[in-house]
Amino acid sequence: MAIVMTAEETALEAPRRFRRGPLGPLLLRVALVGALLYLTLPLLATLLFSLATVWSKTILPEGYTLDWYKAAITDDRFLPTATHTLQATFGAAVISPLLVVPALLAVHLRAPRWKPALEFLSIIPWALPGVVLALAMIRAYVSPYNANRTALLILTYVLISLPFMFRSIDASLTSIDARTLSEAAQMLGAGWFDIGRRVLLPGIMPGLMSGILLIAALGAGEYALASLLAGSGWKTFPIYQAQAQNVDGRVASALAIIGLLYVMVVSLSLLFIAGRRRGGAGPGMPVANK
Amino acid sequence: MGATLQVRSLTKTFGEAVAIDDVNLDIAPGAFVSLLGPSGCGKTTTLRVIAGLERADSGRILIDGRDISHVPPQRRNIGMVFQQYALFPNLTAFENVAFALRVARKPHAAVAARVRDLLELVHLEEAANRYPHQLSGGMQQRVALARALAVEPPLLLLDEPLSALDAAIRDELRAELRRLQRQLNLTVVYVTHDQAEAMALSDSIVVMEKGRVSQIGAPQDLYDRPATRFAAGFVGSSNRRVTALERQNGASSIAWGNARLRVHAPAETPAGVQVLAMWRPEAALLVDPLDPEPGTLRGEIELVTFLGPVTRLDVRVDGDTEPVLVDVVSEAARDLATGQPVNIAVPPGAIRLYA
Repeated sequence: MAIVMTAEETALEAPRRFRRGPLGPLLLRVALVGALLYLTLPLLATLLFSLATVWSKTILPEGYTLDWYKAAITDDRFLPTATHTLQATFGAAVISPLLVVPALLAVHLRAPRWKPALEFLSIIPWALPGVVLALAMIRAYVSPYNANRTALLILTYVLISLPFMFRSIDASLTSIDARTLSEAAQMLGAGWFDIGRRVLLPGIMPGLMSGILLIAALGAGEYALASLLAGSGWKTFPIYQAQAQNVDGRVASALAIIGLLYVMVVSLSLLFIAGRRRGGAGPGMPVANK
Repeated sequence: MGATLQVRSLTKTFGEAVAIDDVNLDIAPGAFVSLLGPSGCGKTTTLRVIAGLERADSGRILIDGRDISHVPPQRRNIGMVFQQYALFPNLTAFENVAFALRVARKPHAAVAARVRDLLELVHLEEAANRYPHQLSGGMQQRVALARALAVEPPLLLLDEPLSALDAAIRDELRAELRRLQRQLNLTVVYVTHDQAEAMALSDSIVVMEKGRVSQIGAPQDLYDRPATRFAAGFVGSSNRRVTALERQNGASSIAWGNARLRVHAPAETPAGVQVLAMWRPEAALLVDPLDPEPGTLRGEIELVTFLGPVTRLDVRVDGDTEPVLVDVVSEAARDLATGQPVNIAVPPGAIRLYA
């Protein structure tokens, strides 16, 4: 009597394959704990320092206080710099997809042979050191045309975010096979508006979200471009952070933790939005991975 | 109710390459027609041009007499099922099937009722709320089928819909497809490279080669009387040799290895001309090796393959270049073994000749 295994049965087998052997799980756990310690210890130290009254001669701080957070937030520089960072992030997060999505759609749906060229171009800003990029932007736009430095900073963020945005949306479009899905939708009576709204937008949502998340992380931590391009006239959060560092390490630590919390909140809300749009995470659909 | 489909002088090139060349089809309402051929023969391009996903260089497509050559695909009202299912990954099975109805802005209650009916039709009622990645390949293709049928298209196009599935599920879905097509009286155009599939499903098969139609006919016709060298080689198993036609005292024969086989050749074919001779493995008969008649092939069994009801023998014929295939009813093949000498008789009426 032959035993026929259906596709459903074989599919159910797959997740079990890592559970074999007694040594494997132990090694996995050791590796996991090691990686977690390596990643979290600096964070923990920063957190403790931001909460410490005095921490110089002891293993753990001598006492705990929220004073440094209060000092960081009530400082006159906090609100304007935080607002500037949010504005720069928002601007880049809007402009970057507007540039990338149409280009990628064109490449995926109509002219795949242009993809390598686009890929190469999108990498260039990433290959240049921040200082070189900033000076180049100033030489190209500020010196001859006296361009608005704030706008220039936002556009430079767009430039720097291109590889992230490009790659994450490209991965989304590849994983859903945008071309075939568009054709399937067409055969079901959908015009381009419906295809965009019901097929392509939900398809690129995970990629879009992780692209935006990376822009948010960039805006919250990027110093070189911000100080060189916008400089003293339009200070961003990282500039304030750097200035605080010269005065009191504990205030700077508090600011670092605040910046981190901000990125965490953004990341969680993006995951939430992406998860809700999608209904359920599936294979081949990248979600924001931070 | 199925539609008639007429394709007139369809031609399509991609750059220098001619994908389809003067293809003509007449498909009756409710017919199941397969486009069969090796990869690159133009069958998929033909289907995509009918769907409107590719634009033909010239030629016309008529559905129920109406010329739709310049109608965009979304307004042709043609159902299509793709090889890789092409389900929307962000939508449940239910919403995938509902897609066309939602796009057409049908009222919610009507959509729900119709989708339930369709899921029932393909036996997937219980999978309505699952996402494509939670379904097996066979189930996904059923959803794709239900989705294509949602707006009751009079014409359904299927592009190798079963080729990504396991053999067992493929057979099951093949029967299902035939049942649905009969039940809904659909006109179906089915693209496949699998001749067994085309034989099992179709009312009529269009054999394509290098962008052209090689032969159109019912499966049995195509098998018994392939009209071209290509169809003879592509459809079914066969023994084929290029050989010279000879005539002696009004009787025609060809050389096959060291032996000669009698054939029925048309009177107008001159003697000495090179022909392709073809006969099916099941047309041959084993005759007593101790009593060799003239006009039989003498050889030795090289391989015995049990195929269930029949057993296939690879026989090395004396003086021949490669083994010939002979199918014997398995009951009669019990005592046959490798290395055994056999004599094979091929009835002249079973041998087809191609100039």
